[in-house]
Parts: sequence; structure tokens; C-alpha cells
Amino acid sequence: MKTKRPSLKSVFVLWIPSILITLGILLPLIYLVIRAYDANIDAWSLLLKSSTIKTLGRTVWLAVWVTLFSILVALPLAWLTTRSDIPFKRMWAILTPLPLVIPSYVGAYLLVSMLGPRGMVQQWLEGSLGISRLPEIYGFPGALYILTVLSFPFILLSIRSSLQRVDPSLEEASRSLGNNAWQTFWKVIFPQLKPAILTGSLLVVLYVLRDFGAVSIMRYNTFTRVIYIQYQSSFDRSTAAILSLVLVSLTIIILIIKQVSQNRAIIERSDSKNTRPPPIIPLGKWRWPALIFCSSIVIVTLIIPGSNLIYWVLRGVQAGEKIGNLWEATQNSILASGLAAVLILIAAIPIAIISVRYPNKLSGMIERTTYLSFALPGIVVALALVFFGSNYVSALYQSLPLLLFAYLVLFLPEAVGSVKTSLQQINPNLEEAARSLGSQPFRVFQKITFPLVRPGLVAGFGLVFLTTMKELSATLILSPIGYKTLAIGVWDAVSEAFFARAAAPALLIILISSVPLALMTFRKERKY
Amino acid sequence: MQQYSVITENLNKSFDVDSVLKNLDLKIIKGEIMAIVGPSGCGKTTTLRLIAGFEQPDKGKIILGDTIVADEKTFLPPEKRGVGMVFQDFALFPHLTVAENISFGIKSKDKEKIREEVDSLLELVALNNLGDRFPHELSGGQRQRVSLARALAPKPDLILMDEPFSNIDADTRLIIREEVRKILKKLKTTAIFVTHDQEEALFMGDRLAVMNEGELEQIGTPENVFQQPKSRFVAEFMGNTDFIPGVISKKGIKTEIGELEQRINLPIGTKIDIAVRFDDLKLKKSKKPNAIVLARHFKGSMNIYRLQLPSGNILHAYAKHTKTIELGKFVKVKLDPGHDLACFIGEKAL
Repeated sequence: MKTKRPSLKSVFVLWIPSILITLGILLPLIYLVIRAYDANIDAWSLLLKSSTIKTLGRTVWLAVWVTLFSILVALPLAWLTTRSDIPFKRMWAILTPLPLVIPSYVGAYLLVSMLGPRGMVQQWLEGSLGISRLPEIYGFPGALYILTVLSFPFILLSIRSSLQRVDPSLEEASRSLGNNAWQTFWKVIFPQLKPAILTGSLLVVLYVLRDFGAVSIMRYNTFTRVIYIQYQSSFDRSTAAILSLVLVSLTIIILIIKQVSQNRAIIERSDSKNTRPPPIIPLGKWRWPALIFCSSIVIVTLIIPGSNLIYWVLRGVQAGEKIGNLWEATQNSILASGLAAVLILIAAIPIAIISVRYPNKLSGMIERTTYLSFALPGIVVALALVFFGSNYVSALYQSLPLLLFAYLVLFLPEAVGSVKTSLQQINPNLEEAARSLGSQPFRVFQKITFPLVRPGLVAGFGLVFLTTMKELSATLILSPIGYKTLAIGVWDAVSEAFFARAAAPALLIILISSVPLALMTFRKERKY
Repeated sequence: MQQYSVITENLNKSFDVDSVLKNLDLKIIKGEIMAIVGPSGCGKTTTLRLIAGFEQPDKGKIILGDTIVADEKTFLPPEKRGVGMVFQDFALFPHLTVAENISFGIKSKDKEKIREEVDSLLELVALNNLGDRFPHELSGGQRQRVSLARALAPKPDLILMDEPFSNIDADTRLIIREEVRKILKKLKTTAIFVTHDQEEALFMGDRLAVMNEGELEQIGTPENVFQQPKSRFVAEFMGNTDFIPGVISKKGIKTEIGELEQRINLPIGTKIDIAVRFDDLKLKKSKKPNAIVLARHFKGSMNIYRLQLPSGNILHAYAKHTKTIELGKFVKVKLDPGHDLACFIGEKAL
């Protein structure tokens, strides 16, 4: 109904900053295209070389299998934790998505430190049984295993929220028409879960395509690892740029499919007005197998990696690892993530405001461009900025501001999303009421809008802080020389197979990045 | 000379290509309650939003008191207009207490004075002692009263109310309605009140403005609008109206249910339509019936019968709650208004 023309003030306060930020996000991508365009013919023929095709094949192959295994784990888990009467249901519901807080390189490190050639199990077996070689875990199996363990919660959460919204009367209708619970699930419920499974799967695919840490530690040559090796060994920038563009094209395609499928899912769901909670189905004799299933998931994804981590921390302490380095790295990590979260949130506010309050073609375009970041792997952004920095603004090359800018490019959409959601929950009449009571627009923002979006801002801050803390590839490439963060600490130690040295920073990353998550989960429920 | 609180001249507004308001001329007298009534999409809410300053007119002029607040050159933002607004969903600030909500628009810096004013407003809307509550702790009717008190707090020259009672339970609505009217009259505040409920408009308004498709159909006192509708639309919208054809005769108007003694300056034989309200008819059992009973709505305190005439025309008539006639029975229906009936040629009233 509203057709407010943008006032002059809003142009300066909202529109111009939004446009500038959007252009900033596009910068790395534009620069990559220019680099690739400048490349000589050799670099282009590289596109069709068998090694490139093989890399593409490996990357897709890994993404497909991780997704399939994730669905297999997530579907029963989602159903059990929403619709069954499994004992300790709430506990399973809280524990099962937790692997999301484990960064992929930490997960991979924990796997290698346990089952790898110099790992815990190997040492134990060698000592007691004299077995000197375990089956190889590097390569595809290890990458598949660790990425599945870390990313299945995307599908789990997506299916869970969809299961909670299924209209219970559809199920009742199916039962009254003579189908039993099992038939009802496959005929009525499962078809409605398809959009959720698709959305979750595409998130998993994006996770795999963008992952750098796990595939590098598992030594499986997907795009991100090959690009990094190219960058490190040859400094052949055009080749790295072209490989990056291939990867980004792939992720953009996935992102577009995800957007389209999500929009359709919303339409499919909109006609259900029923707010009754879905009925709980008793498990009967299936109770025990279900309990065993849930416990083994939690044991494999949380308890084993967790105790393994603590084992290495203790060994590190015994071996006399220096704590001093750790303290500095912690400060650096918190400083960089904190600064990034503040910066990104400030950048997100004007974009969120125009997309909620001034919906039009331009604001839609701006918002969609920010979502492009979801398609940009950290390594790609980092490389683009390294090239750009060293060529044009060498003062910024390997400086903290450039690193923060990379974080902005990578994580802006998360902040825009959470600010936007909380803005949407505010009744626009509130702002009009305040205007009619004599308040200028700025005072309205200060007295009404801001206090009401504050929880959203806090959530956005937590989210960005958490993801930035875990970020590895951009941090690795862009951080100033000598600027060690926790993530870099883990990476350096693992690269040289100092498992005990990697343990303490890994534990700290998980602990610090869990704090905002815990705060968000246990924050006092909003009364209004 | 009349003192006007609001004057709109030739007001036009469209959204995209939909023209929502067409050349609206409205004059609201100082101190009166104007009820704007019409079906949804008739432009009544847009009129309110234009006066409040939430929308900018495409064309036309709005004058509040003696200030032009909107025309081709001027556009005064809502905060400079001194207009209070009561929203359909109340729009109470959820993070502020009742007292903080009410004091939001009070300009004074003197804390003691603000407290006094808030207290007297709370008393005015009969919510003493609820100042420390939060909006979500109040009932619908209480929120409505807070929202009114908040709008009144800056002492505006004009209060705008957009369907203010539609979110309140039916049983409290009548009481709240009466209270609000009493408060507005006590303070002698000018108010514009928008509703789609004609009964509410008849009760609330000192005058009524009936709107349809962005245009003003009729403006006048409730009695005037109800009894002398200027168009078929108004007659139908104000409710309980059927139309039957009639022909001008020597004595008055001839219809298929009897002759009406009502003088109309038209040549004999002219065909017209007569608006017949439910209470203008009398039902009788008779040996010479002229209608069949199609349906009966038992309303508790009365019956409403739906009748079909031999010509096929449908009429509704009130009858006493004790008067039960079976469906399909034949009855005699007679015109017995006791006052002149509104007559139409085409859409326009005579």
C-alpha cells in the first residue's frame, strides 16, 4: 500500500551507502573477471585440460555423496526429534545440530589425529598389537566422512522446521482414509518435506564447494585446494583466477537453484492456516533401535571428537606447549572477529532498511547482490583481494583493513538476514504512530525502531562473530604477516602434524564461538 | 462563518495505476465527529493517511486549521501536523509501558508535569493504576483506550481513527464505542472516524460521509443519510433496503403491493424504483395474499421474513418475534411506512 518517495535525507543515509557496499561486494568478482580476461591463451586452454575437468569431477562427486549421506542421517533424526516419543527428545534435539559449531579444519584435524598415520589409534595399536599401518583415511573417504558429519545438520534443521509446520489434519485425513502411520509418512508427509530436503541439501552442497579446511587436511584435490596450491607454488595468478571463476560459477548456479526452490516452498506452504501442533507418534518396540541410532550419532559427531580433542589438549599440556602464543592468538581472533562483526552489522543496517521499508526494483537488486556472497568461497575472495591489493593499493596488502573487508564480502548476507527479519517483525504503524505524535524520523529510529530491532542486531552480531572466528582460508591468505589467529594456529600445527599443539587453539575456537550461540539459544524469550 | 478544522480540495491519489481517490472535497467542522463509511477499497483509509501525512497526494490541497499542509508545493511531514492517529491494530509501542506510550508525544521536559498529564489521561480513559503495565498485558479494549489516550496526549487539533473498534470483541465493542464518543465530546476534539460498519458510523458520527470507489457519494447527518439517500448505492449500503418498481399515478405511486400516497413532481406513468426498508412493510394473513414466505431469520427480538412477490421481486419485512409464519405460506404484504420513501430513477435519487 505504501508509496513513499525516498526523501533527500534517506538517499544520503540509506541508498548511497547501500549502493556503495553492494559495489564493494562485487569488487572481488569483477576483479577476477578482469584478471581472467587478461590471461593469455595458455591459461584459457587450462580450462579444458584434463586436470581441470578432473578437479571439477572430484568436487561434484564429493558434494553429491556428502549430500546423500547427510540426507540418510538427517531424515530419520529429524523425524525422531520432532514427531516421535523418543526418550530425552529435547536433549537429542539440542545435541544433534551442534556439529555446526565445529569448523571443518578442526573436524578434519580431529579425524586425522585419531585415525591418521601418527594418530591416537595408530599409536595405541602399534604399542599393543604391533600393527604399523591403518587403512588410508586421506583422500575421498576421509573428506566424505568429515564433511558429512559436519554438514548434515543443515538438512536436519531444514526438515525439522518443515515437519513442525505440516498441517496435522492432512495426516488425520490420510489415517481416516485407511493408511497406517508408515504409509502416511511416505504418501503424505514425505512429499511435503521435499522442498525442505532440497533447500538443506543445497546448503550442504554450498558448504562442500566452499570448504577449504577439511579437503586440504584430507588432501583431496577439490577446487579450493587446487586454487590454493596454484597460488602458493606458482604465483600464476591468471590460472588461479580462472579456476576460481569456474568454482564461483558452480556455486552461483547452486545458489540460484536454492533461491528458486525456496520461493516455491513458501508458496506450497502458504495455504495452511492450522496452528495445531502435529501429533506425536509412539515408537513402541522401535524405541530401543531409535535410541541407539540417536546416541551413536551424538557419540560419533560430538563425543568422540570432543574427547579426542581433550586428550590432545592434555598431552599438549604435558608436553609443555607454550600458552603465551595462545593468548596472543586469542586476542587477535577476538579483535578481528569483533571488529568484523561491528563493521558488517553497520553495513547491513541500511541495506536491511531499504529492502524492508522501501521495496522496489533497486532495493531488491541490492539485496540479491548481497546474497551473492553465499556463493563466494573464502579462498576466492582472498585471492582476488590479494591480487587487487598488491596491484593497486599496496598499502592495504596484507593489512587488517583488507582482511576485515574480505570478511565483509563473505559474511554480509548473514547480518542483513538477521536485521531484516527483526525489522519485518516491527509493525510499520508503530513508526507512523511515533511520527504522528510529533517525532522526527531520526528520533523515531532512536526511540522505536532501534530498541525493537536490538535483539536482531545482537543475534546478527553473534552470528557474524561466530562465522568470522571459524573462517580459515581468507584469514590465512590476507592476515598481516605475523598476525596469528586461533584458526591460523590450528592450521599451522596440523600442517606439520603437531597434533598436540593444534588442540588448545581448536578447543578455544569452539568454546568462544559457542558463547554467542548459547546466548542466542538461552536468551530470555521476547514478551512481545 | 463556519470554522473548519479540515478542508480537502480536489484531492487525488493513485497507487501504481489504481486511482484510489478522485477529486475528494471534504469540509470538517471544528469540534464535530465525522464518520467516513464505505465498503473496503473505497478510499476511506487513504483519505485518513493523506490527512495524517503518511501519504502524499498526487493532486489537490489539504488544509488543517488555517495551514496548508499539502498541495503542489507544500508537504508537511506527519510530525509537524499536530494530528493524532488511532490505528486499527492500536500500534502501541511494545517495549514501552502504558505510561511511556502515552507520554511519548508530550513535548514538556518537566517530569512532574508529564506525570500529571499522563495520570489525568489515564483517568479520562478509565485506566487508572495501569500505567506500569506493558501493552501485551492488556485486553483489546484496554489497548484501544491507551491508544486513544496516547493520541490525545499532545493535545492535537484533530484525531484520526482508522477502524478503531474492529479488533475488539463484539460484546465490549458497544461499550468502548460509547466511551470513546463521550471522551471526544467532552474534550470537544474534532475527529475523523473511518469504518466499514454503517451501524457504527450512524452511532459515532455527528455527520456521515459515504464513500464509494474513491468518490464521495453523500455527506450529511446520520438521519439525513439514512432517510434520504442520494443514490441507490447509499440506500443499499446503509442497509436493510430492497427496491421495488413503481409507477407515478394520480394519487401517488402505484406498486404491486398497493398504492403509496406520496406526491412526486413527475408526469403520470413515469417508472421509478422505490427503496423499501424492512420496517416499512406490514405482514398479514389474508384471503387475498400477494407474497410467499421464502425464509425466516429469527433474530430473538424480532423476525425478518424474506418474501417473494408474483413478479419475482424479493422483499424483506420485520415482524414481531412472536409472529411465526411457516415457510411456503402465502401472506399479504402492505406498504405502511408512515413517512415518504426514497425514490430513484436509475442510480440517482429523486
